Amino acid sequence: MSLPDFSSTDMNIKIMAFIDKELSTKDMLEIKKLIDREKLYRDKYNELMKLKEVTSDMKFKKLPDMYWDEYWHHIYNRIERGISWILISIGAIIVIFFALWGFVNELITDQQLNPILKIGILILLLGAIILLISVIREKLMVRRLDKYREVER
Amino acid sequence: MDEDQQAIVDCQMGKTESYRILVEKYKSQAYYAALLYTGNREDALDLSQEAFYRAFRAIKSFKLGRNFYTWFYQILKNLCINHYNRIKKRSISFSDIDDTSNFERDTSPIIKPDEIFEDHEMRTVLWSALNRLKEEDKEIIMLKEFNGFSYKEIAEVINIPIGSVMSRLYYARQKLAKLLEEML
Repeated sequence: MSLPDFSSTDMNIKIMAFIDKELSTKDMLEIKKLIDREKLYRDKYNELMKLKEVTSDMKFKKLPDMYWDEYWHHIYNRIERGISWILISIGAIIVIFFALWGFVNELITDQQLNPILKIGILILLLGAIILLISVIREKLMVRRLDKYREVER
Repeated sequence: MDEDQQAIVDCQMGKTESYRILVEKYKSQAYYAALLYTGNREDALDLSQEAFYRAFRAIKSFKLGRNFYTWFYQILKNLCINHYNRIKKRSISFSDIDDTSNFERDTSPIIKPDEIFEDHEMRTVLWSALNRLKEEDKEIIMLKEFNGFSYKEIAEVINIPIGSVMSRLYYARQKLAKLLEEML
């Protein structure tokens, strides 16, 4: 039987995939036959296997059971806290909106206040609102477009 | 529909308790993956739990049919990289205070292999050889050997074709074997 037409690197990669059990049953059998028959492939197999054994022998340090028992509760607490922050934020937005609305109404109806000062305060408020919307929009755009947003640069 | 996908559908409908199925299934993989980045128990626990929380927050955007753990792993990895960078920055600013030294300092956070692996004669040598590899070589070996990903899962995580995973992994292993040979 002639050797398959693989460059040596391709064959070595196949041998590695054989060790990792990542080949189809048919390919596994074919590579096994070649390893058994050809010294060159057997040597490569042994070389790769030696490294595999070193890495497979490493065992992670065990975490005491009490940490595993509490694990889900810590996540649940974070989820719960996350929900409470969302509610607090929504509540704060509503309260701030109504406070602003009341303030603007009072400002407009106040007869004693100089009209120029009224206009100044209203322009100031308008500027602050536009600035806030712009910052929020920019943040949302970056969030949507930048796939590496989670990584701090 | 498998158990993971069913749990995700339930979570997308707001059933928080179903998320527990996913957490229980993947918590140990997640913790050990974080431990490889942080090298200490407290940070690995905190980051893996935070990653589960963030994944839950983003679960509505999860496309059904994908592998949950490879999707989750990307969130975890980003959190760990951020954590690593923060520590690195902190160690740079501390070294800036000491202006008596002009030599170049290694500001990488020191991760000791004995915090990660059980006692083994090759532990220190292997860890130091891994750290001498390029970051992408180290990552692919860690994904395969310590996180237990299949080639297909690695392809999904680092977003390259399976063929490239195989050749990259092969060359990374060759480099690692050469380094180990030199060090022993």
